[in-house]
Formats: sequence, structure tokens, C-alpha cells
Amino acid sequence: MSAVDIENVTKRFGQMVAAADVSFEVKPGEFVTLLGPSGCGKTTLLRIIAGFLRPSQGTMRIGGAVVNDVPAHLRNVGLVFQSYALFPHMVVRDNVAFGLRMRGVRRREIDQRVAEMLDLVQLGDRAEHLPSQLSGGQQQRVALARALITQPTVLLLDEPFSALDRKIGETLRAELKRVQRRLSISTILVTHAQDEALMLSDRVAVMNRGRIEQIGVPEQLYERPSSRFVAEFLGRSNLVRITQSGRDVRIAGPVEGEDTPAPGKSGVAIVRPEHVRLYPPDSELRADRYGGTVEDVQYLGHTRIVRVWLDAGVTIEAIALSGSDWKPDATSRVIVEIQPASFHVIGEPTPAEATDLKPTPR
Amino acid sequence: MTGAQNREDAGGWVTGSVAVLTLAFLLLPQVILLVESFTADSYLAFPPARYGLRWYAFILSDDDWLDALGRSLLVAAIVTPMTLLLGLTAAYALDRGPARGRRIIFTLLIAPMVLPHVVLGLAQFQVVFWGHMQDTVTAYVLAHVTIALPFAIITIGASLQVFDRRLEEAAQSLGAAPWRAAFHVLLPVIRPGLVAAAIFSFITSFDEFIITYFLSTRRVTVPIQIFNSLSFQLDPSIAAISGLMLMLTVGLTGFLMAGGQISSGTRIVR
Repeated sequence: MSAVDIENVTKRFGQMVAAADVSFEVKPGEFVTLLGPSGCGKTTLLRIIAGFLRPSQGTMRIGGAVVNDVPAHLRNVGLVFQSYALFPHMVVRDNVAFGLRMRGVRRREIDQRVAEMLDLVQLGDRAEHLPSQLSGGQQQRVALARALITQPTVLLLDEPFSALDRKIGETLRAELKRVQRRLSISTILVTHAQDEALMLSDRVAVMNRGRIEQIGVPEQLYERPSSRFVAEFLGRSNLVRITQSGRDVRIAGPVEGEDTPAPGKSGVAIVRPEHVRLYPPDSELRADRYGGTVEDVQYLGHTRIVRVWLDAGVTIEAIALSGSDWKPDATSRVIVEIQPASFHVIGEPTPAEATDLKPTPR
Repeated sequence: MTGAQNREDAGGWVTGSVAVLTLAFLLLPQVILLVESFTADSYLAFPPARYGLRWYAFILSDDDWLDALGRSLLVAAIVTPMTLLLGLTAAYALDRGPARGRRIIFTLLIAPMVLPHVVLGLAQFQVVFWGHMQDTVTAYVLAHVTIALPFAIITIGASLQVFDRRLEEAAQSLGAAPWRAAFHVLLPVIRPGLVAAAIFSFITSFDEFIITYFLSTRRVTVPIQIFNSLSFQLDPSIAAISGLMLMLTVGLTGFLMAGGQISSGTRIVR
């Protein structure tokens, strides 16, 4: 039995389709992330699961039971917001205890469970503080404790790290993962931050225009994206037209236009910049190597992004570690190596998907 | 010192003087009246030759003044919770209800704030006359609620607008039915707005003169009684009752302003 099971869920706001025929499930203890740019429908989906929006079509199950018509307060889901949404008039202890009080749990048990939960998020010494007396990171840990204390069937996280400093956000991510594993609680995270998604999730669903473009384990999404959107949304990528002959794969030229390329036969592939190697201009020119000229170099500390204009008429991004001795500058000639295994042919989209309904703004 | 600094200092000096003069103009007459109210003599003079609480003792033992004071307090005590309840429900409906017609309803509800009170008084006089309600607490309450309601709606509406609805959603996800979420989270969080609305309503009712004047003949409120007494004689009892009203109003407003700074860190779920 899955913790959450979403079947063909569609949500329309007037003419706008916020979620289009979305299906996925979350297994018990699984961490699934809905990843996508703003407006892709991920938050709409989360609010449907939480019970604040009703799907226009489709079936929603939580813990095996259909919940389409079950109001939010009877769904037993835990919810953590980007803005923390702690009750400002209650001290930490009362915030965390709220869910148990609403369920009529006895006082002694409440006190014990609140203490345990505050220890779990390492805030045992802040029980009597008001939310306004805590830092952002501490507030979000209180919000997590508050959401977890009722042992929800599923924990829903809506951009929980976006309001925090990067460093604090990273610490909190690790802590969230630790708590989530320890309690083995089914979790759905909504975010636009790919590093967050890749780091935390068992599976990631990349969303675009109300649909799930691809769902899979992080490695699969990054290394074998099924669409140009997924390839470009996750990390850096080079999109090129290729020709194949036997084992050899050569770059044939650029992919024209912004539109998604036609499938398969035209041979559109992505290459991740970390698979592109740079050699000095006097290196041997082999079947998997190309001559080119450096356009510019971005220095990022631990790495540099080198953009090379290949003689084949394509710009390729390469990532060079800062530690290497040879550092090409702009306008210098280089030899670029891309091994055949580094090309991933994009197998999308099917014509049906390309012509399907797209959300139109009101 | 540079010329620019000189000009700035001069500007500050002028602004300061104007501010002091304006404040003096606004407050001095009332301060003088308040000082006069503590006279022990039987005539009004500033400064009083002797000080005492004689006139406060007088108004608190005089049947007419006690009668008016009791009525004023009774009316305000009914008006305040009524206005609060109506204001809260109206503001909530305007905040959460359908957008359609919202502006029109809002404008109608706050109209009494901008309409001439003399016209309002005359209109309400007719209604009260037809209903044989002259000189009744009911009539005063209805009139005062009409003019206190706009302030309550605006004040409570402002608190509702800045209220983060995700707090209610968080409460619901934790198992609170919508009405419990409103009771445990919404109301405590907008409490400063509710307190302000309550105090505004009380003061509005307690001070109201124009409309009440239309609706009353013999069973009057304090402001009417002050006005009526002035027609006969000017003795320190009027200064004393004015002092009493002043202190009550200032006290409530002071409480309101202090309340704005006190964090509402009470525990409601215990």
C-alpha cells in the first residue's frame, strides 16, 4: 500500500490548467521531490494533497483511502511551509503540542512526546521561547517538529529551505534527511532547487507546465534525461545534433531554434560539461576530438566553465577543475574530447505530448 | 559650520516651534479645564485659588449626573461588544468572501463615517420617532453602533489583511477543524486589532453628541447633560465631569498604545 497515490489528477483554475493528468505514488518511507520552475504546478499539487484544493479530476489516496472529499484537518498530513508559519502567540512547546491537543491526547502524554520531539530536532532548551525569539533555522526545526509529532501518513514540505541562508539551509537539509530516515516517514518535497532535490530524494519528479516530465531516481534523471527540459533544468548541459556510424559518435552541428527537437532519428543528444575534456592545441586530433576556440572562461573557485566554439559550428561548455596546470584563456585554441559514451540521446517527445494541451494564462 | 548646516538647523528650529505651538493649541485648553476641575471654590477660575476633589464628589453624588453617567456607561458597554461582533463578521466576510460586490458593500458599511452626522441624526430621529423609541437606551445603542461600526471594520479588516493564512492552514493540517483553527490561531493573532476596535467603539459611543441629541429629551447621556447644564450656569461641576471623561478617554487610548508594544505572548492552548 502506498503512502500517497495520485491517479490522473487534473486541476483547472478557469481556463488555466495548473496540473494536467498527473499520476505518481509515494511508497512508505520514500522521499519524493516535485522539482520544477515556478508556475509548473508543483505547489498546486502539494495543496491538493494537503486538502486545501480539490482536484478537478482524478483520484487521491492517502494511506490507501480515497481522500478527494476529506477535509484537510482529517487527512493526517504534516505540513512545513517556506515561511515556517509558526503560531506567533504560542511558545515553542505549545506550537509543537498543537496537533496533539487538537486530537485530545492526554496532558501527560503530550508533555512527554513534545519533549522527545524537541530533543529530536535539538531544541530541547528552547521550549519556552516565542517563535520571534528564534533564528530562521530554529523556527523551521520547530515547524518540522510540529508537523511530525502527530505521526502523519505523509510529510509535505513546501520550499522549506528557500527562506534560509545557504549555509543554514544546508545544515537543515542534512538534519531533515536524518530525521526523515530515523522516523522513516513518507515525504513529499516541493522545490525549485535541483541540488536540494538530488541530494535528498529517493525519487524526483521534474514538473513543467502542469505535467510530470520525468520521474526517477536522481542519477537516472541527471544521466538519462528523457526530455530537453529535464536535461536543461538539471545541471548544465550541451545540446547537440549528432551522427552515429558504428561505434563512433560525432557532433554534426547545433540544434536549431528553441523548440524541442524532433525525436530519435535526427539524433539530438546532450553532453554534460564535466564529460568534456580540454587539451592543448598541439594534442593529437582523434575521432572523438574536435578543434575549437575558447569564447570565454567563468571562474567559479573550485572549477572554471570554459565555453568553446567548435570548428563544427557549435558552442560547447566544459568544466575544468581549477587545480589543473593548463589553463586556457579566451581566444586560445584548444582540442575538445567527448567520448562516444558521454552522449545521451534524448528520446523525446512523442508527437502526442507535443501537441497536448498547454496551460494558457487567464 | 557650513551654510547648509545652518539652514538645516534653522529649519529644525522652525519645525520644532510649529509643532510645539500646534500641540499647545490642541492640548492647552483641555489641560486648563482639567486643572480648573480640581478647584475647591464654587466658581471656575484659572488657576484655582484652592484645590480639592469637591466637584468630583459632587457629580458622583448628584442624581442627574449619576443618571447620565450610568446611562452613558451602559450604552457604551452594550455598543462595544455589539460593534465588535458585527465588525468582526463584516470584516471577515469582506476579507474571505467573494470579490464580487466587495467594494460596494465596504463603501456602504463605512458610509456613516463620512456622512454629515447632523443628517444621520435627523434620519435616525425619524426612525426612532416612528418606533416610539425616543429617550431609550435601545435607540442610543443603535445610533452609536452605526457610527462606531466603520472604525471597527477598518481596524479589524486591516489586521485580517496582514494575517498570514498559512497559519490557519498549518493549524488545519494539524487536525484543527476550520472553526477551531480560527478560534485558536486567527483570533489570538489579530487580537491587537480587536482590542483597538473595542476601545474605539467605546470611546465613540461615550463621546457621541450630535445624533444622541436628536434622539433624547430627558433621559440623556453625559455629553448632552454637559451641554444642557451649560445653558443654565457655568459651575465647576462641568469641569469635573469633563475631567472625568477626559481621563477615561486618555486612559483607554493610553492602554491601547501600550498594548501595541506588548507582545501577545499569552498561552491560549492550556
